[in-house]
Amino acid sequence: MTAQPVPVAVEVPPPQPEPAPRPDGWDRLWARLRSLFVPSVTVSAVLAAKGEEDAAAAVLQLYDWERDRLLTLAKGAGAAAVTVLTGLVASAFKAEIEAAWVVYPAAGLVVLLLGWGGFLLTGLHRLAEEYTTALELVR
Amino acid sequence: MIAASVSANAASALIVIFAVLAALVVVLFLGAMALSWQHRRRRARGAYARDLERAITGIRGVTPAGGRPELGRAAVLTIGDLVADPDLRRTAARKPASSTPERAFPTLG
Repeated sequence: MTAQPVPVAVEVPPPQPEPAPRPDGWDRLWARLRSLFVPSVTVSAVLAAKGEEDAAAAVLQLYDWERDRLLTLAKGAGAAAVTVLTGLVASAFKAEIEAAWVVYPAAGLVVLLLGWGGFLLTGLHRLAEEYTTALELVR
Repeated sequence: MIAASVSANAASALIVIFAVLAALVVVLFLGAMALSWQHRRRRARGAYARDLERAITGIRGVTPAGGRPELGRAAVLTIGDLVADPDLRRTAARKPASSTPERAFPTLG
């Protein structure tokens, strides 16, 4: 009589989920460009704050930084617009610009910068909506 | 006279620099608009939701120990995207598979 081999239970590891595709260069460029125009507190940062003892305070700190960043950007855009305008007025007094057409895009820059700063300031109200959503996430 | 000429040339150069800057700012705005369109399209197709769900439900093996949550492409998502898309918000609010939040989402720093 030959001994039958005893079946041994082999533990099969559960299938691991495939990691999500990494963000490419365009994604990173988009993340950078977006932060120039709208509040950009990432979901990743808020989820990371979830494990903190005082997650609500961490989220508040994130939004505090974001508000400061946007306000600084808006003030910088406004100040740059004033600088360009001053340069245009000063050069108008000299009236010795060889290619007069360059004045128009330069004047357009004033409008663009003022519009940019205004867009940032009017978009600050989004911080309030986003803050409550971020709090819901960490609770 | 030389000083006046230099000053006029400087003013002229300054205006040219402003014009070039205007062109750069326009390119920046147009680039941001194009990438924004791509981002919205991807969000509407649910690509970010899938990445986010994969990262949150199957957190094991996806989150490196001691690191920040690996959300893949969804790492570019902001809270503004969650405000705009309720489905994404529900996905992000889902509890991770791991029992303790510390394991699933390691602390900052």
